[in-house]
Amino acid sequence: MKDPYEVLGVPHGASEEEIKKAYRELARKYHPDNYANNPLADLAQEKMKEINEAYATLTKGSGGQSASPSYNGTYDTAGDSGVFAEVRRMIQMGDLDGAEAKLNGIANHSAQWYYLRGVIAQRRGWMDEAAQNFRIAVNMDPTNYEYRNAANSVGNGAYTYRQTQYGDSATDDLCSCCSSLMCLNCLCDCCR
Amino acid sequence: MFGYVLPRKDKLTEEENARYRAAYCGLCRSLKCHYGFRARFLVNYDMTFLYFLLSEGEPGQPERCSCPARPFCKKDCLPDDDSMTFAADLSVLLSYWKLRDAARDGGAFRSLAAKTCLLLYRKPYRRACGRQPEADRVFGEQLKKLNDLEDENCSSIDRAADAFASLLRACALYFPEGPTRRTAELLLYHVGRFLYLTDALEDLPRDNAAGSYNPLRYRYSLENGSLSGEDKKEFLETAEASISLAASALELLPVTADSGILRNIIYYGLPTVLHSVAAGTFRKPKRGKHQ
Repeated sequence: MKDPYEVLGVPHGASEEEIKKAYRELARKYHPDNYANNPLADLAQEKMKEINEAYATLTKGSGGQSASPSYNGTYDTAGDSGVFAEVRRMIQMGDLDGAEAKLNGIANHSAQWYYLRGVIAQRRGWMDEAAQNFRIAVNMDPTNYEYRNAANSVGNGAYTYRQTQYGDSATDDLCSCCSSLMCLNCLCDCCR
Repeated sequence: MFGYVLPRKDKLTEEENARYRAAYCGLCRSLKCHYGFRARFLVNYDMTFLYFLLSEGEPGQPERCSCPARPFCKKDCLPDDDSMTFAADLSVLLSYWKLRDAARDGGAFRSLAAKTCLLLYRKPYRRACGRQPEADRVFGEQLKKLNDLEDENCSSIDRAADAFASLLRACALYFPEGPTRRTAELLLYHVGRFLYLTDALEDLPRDNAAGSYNPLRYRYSLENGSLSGEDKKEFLETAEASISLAASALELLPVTADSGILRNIIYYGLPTVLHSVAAGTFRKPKRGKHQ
């Protein structure tokens, strides 16, 4: 097993507070939600396991396990009609071409049909086609949580780099400073 | 190459900045050592990024070398190790295939210039081919695919970008088969997709005026030769999704001494380039002017 301090990126003899902070940061970074529909989800899961184990070792099991993710990344296939369940299985096995061929053989283009086409595109990294298909699926069946979730996830990417500490890329310029001040000014005017 | 894969200099530490420059100069020197003087002109920032991705970040002492562009000053160069040589090999291959592409679609003058360069770089290309036959095969195959998509005026930006992204993915062949290669493949695929999309966005007004192929012309309905506000937002989202996916892969790569530079490029450099291209304010840095 790797050195747990090294896994968490803290120096030997770090305080419990430091360990906890490092753990939280890493757990947030490698959270399965960030890697949903990402071809590297299995690697992220492994990494998450390693981090959980390191944290459990360092805190001697107190609370380390409770923070481990319950997410297992599998599809809820209950209630699918036969052919769609088969397509979902093929996607999960990584046979994207086979799944696409199977979908193309279906004449009735339901919301689920578009959704699954979107999933195939997303797995390939074809985010524009994925977004288009998810949008159609949501329009056809606006109440479906799975479709809406997928449509939202594709817009800002699987790993939202903007949420990280690095993500102030294009916004930290003078213009945004001015525009925030202008907004603030408007708000002040409203209050009067 | 495109020259879009750049770091944000203001966010690099002093050491990182020095190391980045030394890698650029090292690549230039490696090109000269393996392919002769003319190959020095193929040095570019995109392949400097590739070097950092492949290298294990050993803090090898830079050597002082003379620079042909500045004859009186010596420059720090990172040593010509395996990853540097690989980056040099692929610089030659990619430049050659890019010239082939320009010779095919450029206007009369551009294609003549490209053909002349092809003659000039025939020998280095053959040598690079002998060293990296697998990469050369993938490059040829994917560019053929891209040319076919162009001929049929493909309206899917994903499919057009896929050909170029798959081409860049072949740069991960440096790693032995395993999780690291898989991770590097995803990273390079999305950097490639990002490059293709950004290039398409920058060339859109020119392609539209000249009537040449650009996937954005067929995917969106243009207003006065450029994207409408709504379409631009959608386009930026899909390009940013690639940056996100490249970042998700970067976080799974082993941490090296150069991880900071790679993070800077993906998290700061690529979004900055994308947004300045979208705003029409992007200027490519001059060769070797990274100060």
